[in-house]
Amino acid sequence: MGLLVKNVSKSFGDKKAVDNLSFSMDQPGVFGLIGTNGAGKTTTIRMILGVMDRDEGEITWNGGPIRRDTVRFGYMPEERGIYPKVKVSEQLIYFGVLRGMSRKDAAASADRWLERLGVTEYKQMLAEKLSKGNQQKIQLIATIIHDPELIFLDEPFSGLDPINAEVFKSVIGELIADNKTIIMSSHQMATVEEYCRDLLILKRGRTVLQGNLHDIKAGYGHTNLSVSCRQDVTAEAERFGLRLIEKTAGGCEFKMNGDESAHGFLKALVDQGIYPERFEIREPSLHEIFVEKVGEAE
Amino acid sequence: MKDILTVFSFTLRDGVRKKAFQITTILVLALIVIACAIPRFMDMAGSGSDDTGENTAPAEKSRVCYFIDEEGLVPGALQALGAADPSTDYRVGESGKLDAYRAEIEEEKNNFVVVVAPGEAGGLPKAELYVSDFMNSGPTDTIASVIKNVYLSNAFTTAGVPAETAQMALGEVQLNLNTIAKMDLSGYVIGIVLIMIIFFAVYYYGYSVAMSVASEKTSRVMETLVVSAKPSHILLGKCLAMGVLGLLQLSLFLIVGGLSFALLVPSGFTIGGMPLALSSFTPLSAVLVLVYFVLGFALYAMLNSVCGATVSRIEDLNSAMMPAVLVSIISFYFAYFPLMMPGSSASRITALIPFTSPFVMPFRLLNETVPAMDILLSILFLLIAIVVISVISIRLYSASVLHYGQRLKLKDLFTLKS
Repeated sequence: MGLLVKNVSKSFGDKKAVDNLSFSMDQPGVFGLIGTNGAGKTTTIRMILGVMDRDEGEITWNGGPIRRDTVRFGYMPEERGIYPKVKVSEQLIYFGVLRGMSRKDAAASADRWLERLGVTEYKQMLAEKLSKGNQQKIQLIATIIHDPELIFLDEPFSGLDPINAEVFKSVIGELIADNKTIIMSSHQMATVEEYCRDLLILKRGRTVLQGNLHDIKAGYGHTNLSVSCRQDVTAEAERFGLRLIEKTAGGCEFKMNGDESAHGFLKALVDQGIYPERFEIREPSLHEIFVEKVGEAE
Repeated sequence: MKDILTVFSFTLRDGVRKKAFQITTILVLALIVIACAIPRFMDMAGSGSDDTGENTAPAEKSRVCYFIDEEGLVPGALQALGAADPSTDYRVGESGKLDAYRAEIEEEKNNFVVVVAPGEAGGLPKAELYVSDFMNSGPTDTIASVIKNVYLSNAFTTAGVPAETAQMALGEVQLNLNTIAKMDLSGYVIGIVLIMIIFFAVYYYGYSVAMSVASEKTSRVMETLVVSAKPSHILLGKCLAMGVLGLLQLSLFLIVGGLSFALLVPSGFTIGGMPLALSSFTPLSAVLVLVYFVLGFALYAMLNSVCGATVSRIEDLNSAMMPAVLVSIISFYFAYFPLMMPGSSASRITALIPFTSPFVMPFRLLNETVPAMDILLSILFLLIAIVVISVISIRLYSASVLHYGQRLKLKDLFTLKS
C-alpha cells in the first residue's frame, strides 16, 4: 500500500515536464525527490497532491485516489507563502480549519507547535514582522498543524541558518519517528543522505536513477579515498594509481580503483613515518552520484 | 461547503480590518450626513434673516454703476435700480465723462456704465452697457427689466391708465411647476448618487477580489491554499465575503442616509421650488436596488478574479484588469440613458443587458414606473450571465492560480490546462 506513482506523464504544450515517472513508498519514512531546477519535481508533487491534472498514469495512496477530503496531507512549497498582513496565530488556525480541524483543535495544535519551534512570542504578531527563518517555521507549522499522514517538503532547509536548520531536522526526525510518510525535495544532498531511505533523481522530467540509497551506493563500491595529514602525499598517492580529485585545507580526495591500491598507499605512508590524521575508504557521496548521473543524461 | 465558509469568514474579517475600508466607510457616512445637514443650515440661515429683517444692515455695495439718462427717458429708474439691486451703488453719470468712467472700469473691473438712449420709432428706450469683460457683465436682466417697467409705468401714468391696471400689466405671472410622471428632483438626485455608489462599490470590491487573488499568488500563499481547499471554493468564499462586505457598507449608507434625511432635512424643503422627498424610495425599490448591487457585484467580481489570477506580480494587476475595468466603465456610462432619455428604448434595452443593468435599472426604479416583466427579465438575464461567467471564471482561475512567470494573455487562459 502506501504511495504509488505509476507511469505518470505531464506536458505543458510541446514541453514534457514529467515523462513516464514511476515510484512507490510502501513503508513510512523519507523519500528523496532530487533533480536540477526545472527537472519536474514541483510538477510531480502537484500531480500527487491533485492540484494539477496528469496527462497519463496512476497515483494512489493506500490504494485509493489522493483527494483533499480523503487523505490528510501537508505541503510545504519551495516558495514560502504566508499572509504578510495577518497575525501568525490567525493564519495558522485558518489553515488548520481549512484542513478539517475544529477552530479549537487548530488553536491548540498551533500553540503546541509554536512552543515546540520556539516562536510562541510571535503568536500575535503580523507575519511580515518576523525574520525569514521564523516565517519558515510558521510555514512548517502550517504544513503539519493538522497531523498529516503524508507530508511533502519542498526544499525545507533552504535559507535557514545552522541553528534553525537543526530545529527543522529535529522536527523531521520526530515526524519520521511518528511513522509519517515524507516526500522531500532538496538540493542539499547531505540532508537527503541523512534522511532518505529511497530516492529518485529526475532530469528534465525523466528518471535517471532511483532505488534504495544504501543499495545505490553499495552498487558503486569503494571509489573514494579521503586523506588528511600534514605532509603533501599526492605524489606518493599517484604512485599507487590514486587520482587526485580535490585538494582542500582539510586534506585530499582521491579516486581509486579497488581497495588494494589504498591499502598499499597506507602501508607506504606508515613505512615513511607519515601517520595520517584521517584515512577513509568510502563509497561515492550522493552529491557525486547526482553530478555523475545528471551529467550523463546531458 | 465548510471550505467556502472558512475562506468567507477569513476574508470578511480581513476586509473589515483593512484601514481603506474603515476610512472609506467613515468618509462616505460623514459626507451623507453633511449633505443632509446642508438644507437644515440653509433653512436656519433663511429663517434667521427673516426674523431680524428690520435690523438687517444695508447690503454692502460691491460695485458702482454710472447711470446716464441725459434725456430723462426713465425718471425714477435710478432709485428703482438701487432697490432691485442693493449690492450696486447707482450714481448719476454724465455722458461727457464717459472716457473717465471707462478708465475707471479698467481699474475697478466690477464697475459699469449704463447709457439710456431713445428707442426706434417711439418704442421702448434702449440701453448701452459698458463693462470690463463678459465675466463682469453686471445685472443685465435686472437693468433691462427695471428700465422697461419704469418707462412703461411713466407711459401708463401719462396715458391715464389706472394705477391698478398699470400694476397688473407690469406684474409677473406666478408659475408653479407640478410634475405628473414619477421622476422628481429627489429621485433624480438620489438615482445619480446611487448609481455612483453602486459603481464605486462594484469597482472597489471587484478590485479587492482581484487584489486578494493576486496577493495570494505573489506571496505564494496560493501554493499552500490550493492543497487545502478547491480553487472554486476559495474563489466563491472570497467573492461572497467581498460581496457581503460591500452589501453591509451599502446598507449602512442607505440606513444612515435615510435617517439623516428624516432627522436633518427640514420638512417642505425645496430646491428651485421643487420639494425634496424620499417618496421615490419605496421598500420594494430599496430591496431591488440591493438585489441589483449584489448581482452586479457577483458578475464583476468573477470577471476581476480571473484578472487577479493571471498575474504573478502585483505591478501587473492594473494592466491585467483593464478589460474588466473598461467593461464596467462603459456599462456605467450607459446609466446616462435613463438620465438623459427617460422611458426611451435605449434606456429599456440597457436595463436588460446583464453588464449594464446593475447601473441602469436602479435609476429607472427610482424615476420611472418599470414594468414587472422588465424587472424579472433583467434579473433573469443577469443571473444567467453570472452562472456562465462564474463557470468560465472558476475554470480559468483554477488553471491559472499556479501559473507563475509572464502574465497570461486571454488566449493562453483558454488553452491552459490545470
